[in-house]
Amino acid sequence: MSVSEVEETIKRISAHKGVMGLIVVNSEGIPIKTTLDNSTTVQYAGLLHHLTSKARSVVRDIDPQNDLTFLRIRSKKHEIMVAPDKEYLLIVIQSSDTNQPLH
Amino acid sequence: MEDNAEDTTFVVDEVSTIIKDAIEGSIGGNAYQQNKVNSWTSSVVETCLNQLTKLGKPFKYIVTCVIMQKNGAGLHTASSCFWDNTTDGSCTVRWENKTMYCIVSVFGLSI
Amino acid sequence: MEIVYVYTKKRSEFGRQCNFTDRSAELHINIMPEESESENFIAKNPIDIGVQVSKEYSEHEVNTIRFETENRSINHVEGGWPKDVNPLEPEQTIRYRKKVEKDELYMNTVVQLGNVMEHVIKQNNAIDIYETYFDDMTNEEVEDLPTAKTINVFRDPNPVQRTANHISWYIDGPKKIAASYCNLEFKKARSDACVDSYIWDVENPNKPELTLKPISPLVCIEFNPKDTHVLVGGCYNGQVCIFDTRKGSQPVEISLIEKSHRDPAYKTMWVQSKTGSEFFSSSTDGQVLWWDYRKLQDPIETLILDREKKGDIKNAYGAMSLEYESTMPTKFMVGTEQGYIINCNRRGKSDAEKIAHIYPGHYGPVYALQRNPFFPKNFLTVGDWTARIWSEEIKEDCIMWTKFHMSYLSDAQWSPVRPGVFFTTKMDGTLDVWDFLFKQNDPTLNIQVCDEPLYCLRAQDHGRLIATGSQSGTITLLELSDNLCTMQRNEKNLVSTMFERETRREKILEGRIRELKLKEKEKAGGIHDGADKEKKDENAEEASLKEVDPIEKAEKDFFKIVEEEKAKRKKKMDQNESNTENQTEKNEEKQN
Repeated sequence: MSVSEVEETIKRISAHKGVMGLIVVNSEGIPIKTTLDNSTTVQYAGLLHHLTSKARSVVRDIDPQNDLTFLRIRSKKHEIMVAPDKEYLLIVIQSSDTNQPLH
Repeated sequence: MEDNAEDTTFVVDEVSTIIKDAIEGSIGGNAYQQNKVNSWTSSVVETCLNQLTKLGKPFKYIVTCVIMQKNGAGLHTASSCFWDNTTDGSCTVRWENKTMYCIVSVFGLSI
Repeated sequence: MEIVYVYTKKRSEFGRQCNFTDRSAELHINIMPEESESENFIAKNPIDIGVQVSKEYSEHEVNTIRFETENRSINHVEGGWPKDVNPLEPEQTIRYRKKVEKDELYMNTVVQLGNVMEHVIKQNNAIDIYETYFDDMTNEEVEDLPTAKTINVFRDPNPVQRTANHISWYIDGPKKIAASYCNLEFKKARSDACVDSYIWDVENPNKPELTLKPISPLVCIEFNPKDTHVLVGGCYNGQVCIFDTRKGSQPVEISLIEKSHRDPAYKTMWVQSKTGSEFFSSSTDGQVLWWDYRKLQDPIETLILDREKKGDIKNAYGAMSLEYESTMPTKFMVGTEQGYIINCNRRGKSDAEKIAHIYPGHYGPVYALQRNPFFPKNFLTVGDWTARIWSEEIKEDCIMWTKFHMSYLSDAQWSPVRPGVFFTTKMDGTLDVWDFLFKQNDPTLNIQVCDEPLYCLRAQDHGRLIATGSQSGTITLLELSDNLCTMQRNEKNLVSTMFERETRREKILEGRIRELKLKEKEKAGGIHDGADKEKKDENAEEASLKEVDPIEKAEKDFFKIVEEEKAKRKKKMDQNESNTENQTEKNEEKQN
């Protein structure tokens, strides 16, 4: 696994239609990699990190054998998708309606 | 030790005026009204009893009241007692107006 | 062991001896059945009786305690970084990120998650499962009904109730409102009452943003259109004062009491000027005074609203309302306590020249007066039970009016964005929205704002928000629906034609009346000519008519008719009777 391969993956995802941004957040909520500007990134990272851990604990509380695999948040303007892992979160914002601004 | 006979015996005349006053005061000139009968009966017996206790005689009293609408039906009541004939007594008053009968009985039992 | 206690009591202590005997049965009452009495009753079958087969409910009301909130803020800073990394140092954070990016676990995770994510993105792009069908099919025929909703309620925090008399909107956007509170009821003003007025933040009804502390309660307050920090207020004692929100609650300037109004300064208005520091005020003492807040010692100019135009304050009309349109800086209008509307020109050399025309107006004080923002020639007034629209050209009467309402009208204002719409408040606590182009008999929208009288209203410049003030000092902020605050197609032209049409109609009527008057005059002049006798007869008849009280005459006529009718009937009856009698006689004869 190389750095270039990671870059490749990120580029490929960002190239998909409607993808407005991609953020990788570590377990502390710190954005490691982002395609968005700093303030937006920090906001998304902080809020979604919380939400994802909450969502995960909900799933586990209901059934301890279960675990959160994916989180989709559908909003009026876009869809926020979170792929969780032990150490990192991959967040992608995709507009539900193309040509929509982020805010 | 024996008190005045008036104070310890049941004076029917006295009681009957009390009853008549109570009926006149409670029902008076009213015509029969089904929804008022309950309050009339209770008012009659209560005022009777009030007045009787005010006499201050050593008696237990039993007061009953019957109100009947004048619709042609008959009414017959009777009573029988086992008591001290010398002191105890009863009094029944029959009162009527155009639309109803009111029958009040008082039994006085000496203590 | 045996315990024995010997108890002795005399017979006489046991009380009276029981000596019961049987009393034979005794018949008390013996009422025999009485048939005749039962005849008074009717057996009824079936009987109709109403029965309610439903649960019984009772109504209760509970008012929960008002929960007051307060906003506090906390500054969050970025966190979660390792101890040795300062998040404010970009170099350090970049270095940390770089380090993580080279981490094997990171790379694995991202690639792995990337695949999952890509799958989902592709899913999303393949088919829009959230697509709303028939989105473009909006049925435009159904026009939304005009509505309004309450956004916020600002209660006077003071325990002694005072009326919210006047409201002014912040000039830069719908952020703040200034409201003056004063008890104007005759002899009801209490000496211990609070004199404070408030500036409210539209978002925060819990606490006023600023408390204004004048020397005497304010009856009006107005934001300066040029400098948003400056406000002018008119006091109950006639003084005018200037507030500066940057300098706190106390007024920064106050006019001298001996140079001020002698009655409450009911209205103040800012005047278009280079410095933006000039304003004028009016009062029921009949004076209009111009001021410059940089030197409040003396009014710049004085006008006495003398009806004989002689400048005598004894004959002056008391001013209740003012109107000033910045596009016509030399003109202004005054609504008087006596119901007249005075059109004034500031350029006039004398008081007489300044008072250009007096319109007849209302049966009571003119509480509101405003030119239409689109057609300044037409103005709106409110007084007694009606709102009236006038044209400057028609001097004798208004061109349009509302019906007489059941309760007094207290304030009115044109919509700032729609030429044909205006708002009125009434003493029964309702706010009416009138769309005169659409409907003139009834308001388009009638909103019960509160249960107590409303005293003032002010629309925000965008026309969407309306603030109303009530008797107990409650300011209610209402938001109107879109159709009430967006200009309709062709509305301006239509309103213009409507005003013109009504003006023309009124002109024709005026001309006709003048003609009739002229004719009458001619007639009056012609009495002495030929047809003298006829005229005299007519006059005699008229005189006799005048002598008899009209009511008496009507009564006489009425009874006369009744009598006639009675007589007629009697005649008929008699005839009939005689006829029947005749007939029976004949019959008898026949039988015989």
